[in-house]
Amino acid sequence: MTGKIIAMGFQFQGMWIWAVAAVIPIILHLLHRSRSRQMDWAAMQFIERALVQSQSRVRLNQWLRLLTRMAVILLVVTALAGPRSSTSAQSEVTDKARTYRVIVVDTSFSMAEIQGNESTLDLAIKKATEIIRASGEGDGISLILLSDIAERVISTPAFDRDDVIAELAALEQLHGSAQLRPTLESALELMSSDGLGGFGFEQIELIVITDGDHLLWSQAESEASKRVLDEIRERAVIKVHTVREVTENNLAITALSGVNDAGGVGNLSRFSATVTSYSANPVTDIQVTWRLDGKLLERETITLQSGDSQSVELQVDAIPTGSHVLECYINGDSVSIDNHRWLSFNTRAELKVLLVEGTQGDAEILQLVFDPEFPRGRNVVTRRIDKTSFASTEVFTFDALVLCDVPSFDRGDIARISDFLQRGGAVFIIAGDSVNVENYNQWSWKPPFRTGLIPGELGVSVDVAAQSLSVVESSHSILQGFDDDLLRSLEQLPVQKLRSFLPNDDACQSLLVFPDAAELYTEFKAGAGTGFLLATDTDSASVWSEVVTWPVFLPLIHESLKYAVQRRDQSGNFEVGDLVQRIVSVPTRNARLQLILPNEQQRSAILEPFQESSHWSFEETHLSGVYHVEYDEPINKQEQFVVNVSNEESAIRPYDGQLAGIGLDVAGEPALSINPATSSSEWYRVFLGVVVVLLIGEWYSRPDTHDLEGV
Amino acid sequence: MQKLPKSLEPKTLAELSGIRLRARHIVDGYLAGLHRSPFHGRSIEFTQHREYTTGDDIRHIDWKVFGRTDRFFVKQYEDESNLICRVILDTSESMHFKADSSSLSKYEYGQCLAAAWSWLILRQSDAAGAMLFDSTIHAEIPAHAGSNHFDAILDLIDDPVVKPRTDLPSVLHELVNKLTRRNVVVIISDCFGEISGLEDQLRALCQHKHDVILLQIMDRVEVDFALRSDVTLNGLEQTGSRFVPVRQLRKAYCEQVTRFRQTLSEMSAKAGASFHAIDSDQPLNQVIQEILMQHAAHSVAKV
Repeated sequence: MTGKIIAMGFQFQGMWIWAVAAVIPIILHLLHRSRSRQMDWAAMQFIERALVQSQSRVRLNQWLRLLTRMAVILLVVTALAGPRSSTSAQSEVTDKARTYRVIVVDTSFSMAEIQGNESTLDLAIKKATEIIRASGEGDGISLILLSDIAERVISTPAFDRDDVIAELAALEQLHGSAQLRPTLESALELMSSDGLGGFGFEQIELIVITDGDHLLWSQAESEASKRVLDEIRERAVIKVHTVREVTENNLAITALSGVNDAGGVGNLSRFSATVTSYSANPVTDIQVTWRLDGKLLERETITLQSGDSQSVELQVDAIPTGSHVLECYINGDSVSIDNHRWLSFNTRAELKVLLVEGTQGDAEILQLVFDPEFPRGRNVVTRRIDKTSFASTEVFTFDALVLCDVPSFDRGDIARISDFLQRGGAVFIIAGDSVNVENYNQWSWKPPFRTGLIPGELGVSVDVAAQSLSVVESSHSILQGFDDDLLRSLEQLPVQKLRSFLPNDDACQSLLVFPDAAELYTEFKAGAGTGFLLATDTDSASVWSEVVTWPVFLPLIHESLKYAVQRRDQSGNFEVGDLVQRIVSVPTRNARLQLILPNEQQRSAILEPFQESSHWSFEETHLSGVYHVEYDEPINKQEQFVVNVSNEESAIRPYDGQLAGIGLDVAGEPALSINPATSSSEWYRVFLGVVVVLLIGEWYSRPDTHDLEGV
Repeated sequence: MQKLPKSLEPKTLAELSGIRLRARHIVDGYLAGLHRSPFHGRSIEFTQHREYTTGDDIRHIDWKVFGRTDRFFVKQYEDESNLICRVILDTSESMHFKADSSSLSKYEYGQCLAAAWSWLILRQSDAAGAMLFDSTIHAEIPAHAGSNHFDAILDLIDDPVVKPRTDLPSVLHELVNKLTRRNVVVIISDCFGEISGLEDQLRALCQHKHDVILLQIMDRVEVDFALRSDVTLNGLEQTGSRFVPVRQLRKAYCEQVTRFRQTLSEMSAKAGASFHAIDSDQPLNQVIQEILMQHAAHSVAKV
């Protein structure tokens, strides 16, 4: 004898209210007798004798049928209540002891799936409400959202069930992915709180209510998650309720991009959206609709096979210069969140480039590289100044800043350059023979802060005449338009000497290097801006290189400029959960701004001074859509940015893994409990099986009725 | 075998209102074409010859006369025209039961049988009379010959007074005392109620040389208990109310009915009477035909 007693428990205690339905057969029986049809009858003597003859059998039969019908109702209620077995000690504590319940509600993307009239989140809220109502007096409840952040809605144990239910009712569907481990850690933190002992709880339960999406529950396979689960299990009973499994019939717009020939310059713009089917069946009549700044542009109908993606193109003429939002959406499926995608972009009449000349003649030929039609450039307008004029020039009116072998910078220069870069400007640094290495290295970035001049350290000049150049990243967006001939031509750029450069930030991307690790052309990013470091001289008279005369150098510079400007233009595009940071070129302190979220709710933020500008940040990007920003005085302007859902979220499907390590099987079960030795599915089937047997028995016990006449 | 006309089915008779119309339909549609009935006197004292007609027993043809005249004559005996038949019809409340699916009540069906029987007797110049009873004989028309008497019989059975109780043995006892001459007694009843003394009274009738035919009528629903759902039955003849689980009780009920009819049959056989169990949905012509054929066989056996 082990002494282990198996007790029966139920996952849906609230279902027991339906047990009163067991009296329905009794009521029907009595009603049936009292309201039965009346008729005159002559042959009563046979009735009396038949009753005497079979009274006991009839009565037994009636009782058995009555009991069978009551049993059927009770068994169905029992089956729906989610029967499960557990050890006696555990179940007793669960039923009677004062319990601290940490309820975790999954509010992630996949919970938005609608089947019938309700989303999965609606069901989760109902389930949580049911659990809360079933809680005993003195039980404490905390509430955590399982989303891209582990938001604690109720941290301190709440004892007023109505308050908790009101909080639940106010929960909103979020559009981000669910992060399991941070949520578990947050729950663990609540359970481990020093103050918890003061409430006198005798046991703790962690209740997770979810749809069992694979993106969420595959995270439970990580060692880190298992460790957290182990720690929780030492303190609490863990129960996982899957209120509804996700289906595999989602459609989504998985990409939306602008294809602009000249960095947003000119009147013609092309856009491309990718529609993907995650459905198991072909889907026809998918309407793809385009809207620009809220106005309908075009509508197209496509058909997608299972698992296919299709690109849909849009060409728009004469988009006015300025900031725009393009929206592409498809007609509704069961998950509507990813049916929309937005693109924030700018259009302009021309690109403005400021060239800062370090020494006489360094920038002259570069100006022609940027603007081959100078002085009457069509798309690019350049202006050349010497270093002494830099401090007095308003750099923020330019799109790109080219520092042409400038020997040194002071603190004010660096602040302006860094600010320009952070706000999305393109910065080209030509580190030729005139630069003061010590001065440049003085302004080197000190990661993780990306402020300063260069993301690394310059060194001595290196002779590379005998070496051949390599294109490190031919798939980079800048080089995507280069064919093999152009790429070969790049590898033959005439460079004799360069200044060694050692990047110290992973924001750097080497494009052209010499095999002995001497980097010639490096891209780096800071904030919304993009920088390029060319570690050689561009002076036509220099002995370091003749790259400016090389034909392929011109497209390299132009593609780099276009890439940088596009990146800035798209700096108004975020994914759900991203931190939005913006710099405003007005130095101010404590100025306010209002953010209007896609759900029309408002948030306010305060501008903080940042170097010579101001900046603000916003992290509540839990919803996809267009966010409007309204600045108060003295800035007094409006702008907008867009937030899209992550692509990987769209491939929703039930988690099919076996989490043997922690004894958790999320697949295919309506509700789960990790700690107890539970076999809910078996009990469920046993009860339903008994119901079926009883119904069959009742059917066969009916007397023959085939020869009855219509009386 | 003769093809029976469908027109004597209870459904057809039910479309005719009143016993007069029904009787006319029965007579014109069926009885008029029937052979002579097997009922006739049994006197051995020869009185006269009569020309042979269809239906006469060929055993009574006088072959000597045929040899002289080349024509068929049958012998007539002294008592032959003095056959007396009395139809005893139950008018109690239980006889007026009619299920929704039935065309005629048991009484209406009995009326038709009584009319047919009387006509058959009167047609052959014998005397027919009728009595109505419940717990006693409460109405009577004496037996007379002649077709005019048919209307008087119809008048009697047309609109009876309905009383709630039946007591067939008591009625038969009354009948034994009442009938002085030899009679053919046709009893039409559902025989519900107390039947413990029935056998003795039947035997008494038979011992007084009466030819007794007991026709027990039941509604088809009473026989099969084919009710579709459970029902509260209000008993006729002051037998109270009962909620009845039809499906559970049906088998036992049918056993009781079978046993009851079996008992009646055995009582009749022991007493020397003929017994016929009739369901009120059986075609009337079929029932009459069967009774006549069985009675013919019964009479031969007695002779």
